[in-house]
Amino acid sequence: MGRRKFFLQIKFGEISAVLRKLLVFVMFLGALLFVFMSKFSSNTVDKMSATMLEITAPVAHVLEFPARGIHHVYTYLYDVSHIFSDNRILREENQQMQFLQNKVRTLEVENQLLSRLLNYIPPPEVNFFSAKIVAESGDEYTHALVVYVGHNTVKKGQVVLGNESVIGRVDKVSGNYAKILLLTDINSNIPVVIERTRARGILSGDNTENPQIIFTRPEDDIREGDLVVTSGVGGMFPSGLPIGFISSLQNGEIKVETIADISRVEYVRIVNYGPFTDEAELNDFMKADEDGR
Amino acid sequence: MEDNAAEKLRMFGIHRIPLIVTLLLLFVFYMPVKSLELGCFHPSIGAACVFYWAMNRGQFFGYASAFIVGFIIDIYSTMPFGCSMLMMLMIVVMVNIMKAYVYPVSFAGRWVEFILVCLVISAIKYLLICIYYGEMFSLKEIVLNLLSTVMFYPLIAYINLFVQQKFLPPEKINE
Repeated sequence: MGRRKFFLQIKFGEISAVLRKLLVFVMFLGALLFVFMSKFSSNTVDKMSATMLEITAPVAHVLEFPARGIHHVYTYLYDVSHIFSDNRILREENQQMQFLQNKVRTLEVENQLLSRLLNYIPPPEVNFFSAKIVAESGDEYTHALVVYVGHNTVKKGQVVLGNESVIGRVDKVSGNYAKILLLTDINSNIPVVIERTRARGILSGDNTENPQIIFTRPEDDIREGDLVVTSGVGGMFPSGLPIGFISSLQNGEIKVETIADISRVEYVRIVNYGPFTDEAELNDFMKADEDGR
Repeated sequence: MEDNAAEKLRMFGIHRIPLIVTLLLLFVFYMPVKSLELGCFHPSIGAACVFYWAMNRGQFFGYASAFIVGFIIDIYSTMPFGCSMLMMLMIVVMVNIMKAYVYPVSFAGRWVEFILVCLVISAIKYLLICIYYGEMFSLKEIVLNLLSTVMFYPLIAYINLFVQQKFLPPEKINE
């Protein structure tokens, strides 16, 4: 009886204030729950995030058109101001390219002949399609892009190329859009090999402009300036795709300067390679590699 | 009766203006225009907007709006989902504490308050990320981001002030 009287005495305003406070508490709890869920049950959070990306990405896509106009004007003015120096560099490069082209033709014929002699089975063919960048979601921890893939089949884990080298891999796919994780992002891990010595490792983003190579052997011969390419281990990526150069070797940290200049990339190429385009393969490889060492 | 409903709908729309403007600004800064030499700067537009609106028009921009802004940031971010939501909610908490104890009227005062909020939020975020990934990250990017956010605040505040003066009803003194 006394309890009933107590409830009746509470005014509507007080109830609403209590509810508001409860809602704030629920929101804090919800945010914390999301953090825990993304750590321990990432699939549920990934699916929800992908659905929301599909809903919100068209807004970014619409806003991208005027931005692209401004971007083109800026690029045009920048290119005009650098036209003489660029022309000189391109002439020199062209001369080198012509020499290399002849060399490549000779090597290609030689390679085909030797492959036939050895009954060599070539790796699966690489095919790719282009996708337009519609948003860049960068902050102090995030290095990612949102691209419009249309009706093309994209799978999580596929490698993404910029103008001439690897820039990252597909992180999330939702309808016509996909989120690309750049090499510099803290969640990025790509199996790589040093081209000169074939020393293997994992290129891992560490929130700096220069990602580092981890899981290398102490006896591996790695020097500054060495070219880093994809290893192709795990079957996710084709091997030999250029990534960058070793920029420093200090305190056991092997830093890599990436070749790709994201600021100049308007379209990316998503590589579809072989039958194994599943991230589980990469995770298995990383686990096995870690255990092996 | 119909007029009353229309008026209610209009007021509902007006109350959502700060949230809509914040989301729009967020998407504008997601536009791929990095060649404008802003590559290394990633100002936290969400944080600046949430601070501005919570400080100046708290009645139109509360915890729910901050939660929505954080949710959208989390969708585009690669950080643990929920992290931005938590940070945006904490900004509102800090603003409400500041409003209760200090009330500077000048823009410079507000800016200093924003720097304080940014410092605390960045420190909490850094700790959370380090615990989540189990490793320490370079502070250089975080400091650069913090500086760019602080530097961009006057621009964000100016845009929001324009919207506030143009579209929102004047604030009552006794509120």
